[in-house]
Amino acid sequence: MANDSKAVDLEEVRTELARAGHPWNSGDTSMSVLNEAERRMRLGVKLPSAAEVTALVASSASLAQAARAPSAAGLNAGAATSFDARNVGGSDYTTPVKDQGNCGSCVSFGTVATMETTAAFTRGQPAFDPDLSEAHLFYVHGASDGATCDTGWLPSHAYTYCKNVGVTFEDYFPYTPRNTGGATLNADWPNRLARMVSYQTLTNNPAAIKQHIATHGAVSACFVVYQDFFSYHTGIYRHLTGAVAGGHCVSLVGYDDVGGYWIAKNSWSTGWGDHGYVCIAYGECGIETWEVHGVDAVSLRMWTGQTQVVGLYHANTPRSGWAFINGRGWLKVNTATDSSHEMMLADLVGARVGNRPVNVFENNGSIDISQVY
Amino acid sequence: MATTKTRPTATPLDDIQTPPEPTQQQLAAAQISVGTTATTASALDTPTMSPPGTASAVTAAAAGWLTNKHVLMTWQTSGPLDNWAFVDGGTGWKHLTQSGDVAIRGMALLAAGARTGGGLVHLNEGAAGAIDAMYLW
Repeated sequence: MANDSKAVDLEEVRTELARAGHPWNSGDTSMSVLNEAERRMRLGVKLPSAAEVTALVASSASLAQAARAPSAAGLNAGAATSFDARNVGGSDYTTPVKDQGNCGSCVSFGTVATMETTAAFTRGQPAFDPDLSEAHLFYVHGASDGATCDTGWLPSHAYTYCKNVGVTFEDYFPYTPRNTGGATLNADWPNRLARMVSYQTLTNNPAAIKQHIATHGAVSACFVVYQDFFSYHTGIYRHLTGAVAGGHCVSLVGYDDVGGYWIAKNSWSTGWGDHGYVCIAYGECGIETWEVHGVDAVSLRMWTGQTQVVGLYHANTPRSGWAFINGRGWLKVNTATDSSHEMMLADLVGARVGNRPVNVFENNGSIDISQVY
Repeated sequence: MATTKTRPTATPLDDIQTPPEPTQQQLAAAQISVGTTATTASALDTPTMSPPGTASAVTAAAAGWLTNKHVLMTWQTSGPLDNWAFVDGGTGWKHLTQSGDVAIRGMALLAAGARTGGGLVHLNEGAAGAIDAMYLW
């Protein structure tokens, strides 16, 4: 998971930053105060061979130069010049920054953070704020795939589990580093589940990465971590000094073509970086060329309790009723039979007209059960 | 107690006194439209508008849509597909979708809710003048 390397030297970092014109600022962070072994434990993506690391970093730098060039031959076609899921028309579609602690579970955190943002963004529901279980993904799915806190994992494997099985919510399996909290998976997890409908591999394609972020809110990405990264505080990160420390996975929730950087949500707590976030320059550390994946849609199977029917819709085809549920967006009224559809629709119309609270159980975009108070 | 079968007298409303019944012309047009509506069902199958007051809410009438209206009265007879809604703002009587029994029953539920609760509606008017899709807020 990590190569031998000397610990971060803050003085050396500051010297190199001054020489480079201060593209970013360093300082004490939640990572820089740890010892070397503890820092490396937070890097949970298995590095390929040294030669392959060199190749993917060089390839990334080459792609970034092409993307920045005015005659980029359509590399940026279709995507806006900037995007930030934390502020889309004043709405924040990201979830709070978390702390993976002393465990190489960054793949789980980067993948889950991407699912959470996409689930909220594609529904147009910033208030949804889903809190999915990194513990389920890492300690159950990852473990069945051979991953441990000491070995780390790979996003391509994590995505397969998220699509084929899904992950439950944090309250059904709370995360603690190395599961020292002793939590176990709630047996009812199949009824409280988020699952990737499909996903895309976007590696080596900056234009597609931007397009996916702008239309789905986020992607996950791996990159090579060098020693100077641990002391990042603010600014646009470029590797300046220090040896390779390991591989890491984050969720990219934005980009800026003018500044030439990706906006990454890390899982080292809000005490690291810029409140837990980092701006990584295009072409740095293999960020575009190692493993980049984006989720197309997240289906949910869950109860939403004590909520409101905000609106209703019906078209000119049979069983075409929909309900807009507060915090959840448009959900299709169950389509099992004509009569079940009409009875549920009638009840939801009554809830809307009477402004009554409702509980709804949704399953892959449809309301299977509704309760009106 | 004796029961009557006369249609209830309309209650005076904001911008009308007594909604007129559908005209013969409207009825004829509606009859012609049965089974011949040109509306593409797939284009309306999924709602795309956001609630009023949200950042992405509709701010201008899209093609074919009557937005920010109210249903002031509903009217139905024993005839097939014969449910109507009286819409404010000078729109008048509109036939609910003529595409089939199941669809019109669902839409009638929304129209009734709109009349009872007084909520805003957005209406998609098909080529024959009938309502082919309805939002109720």
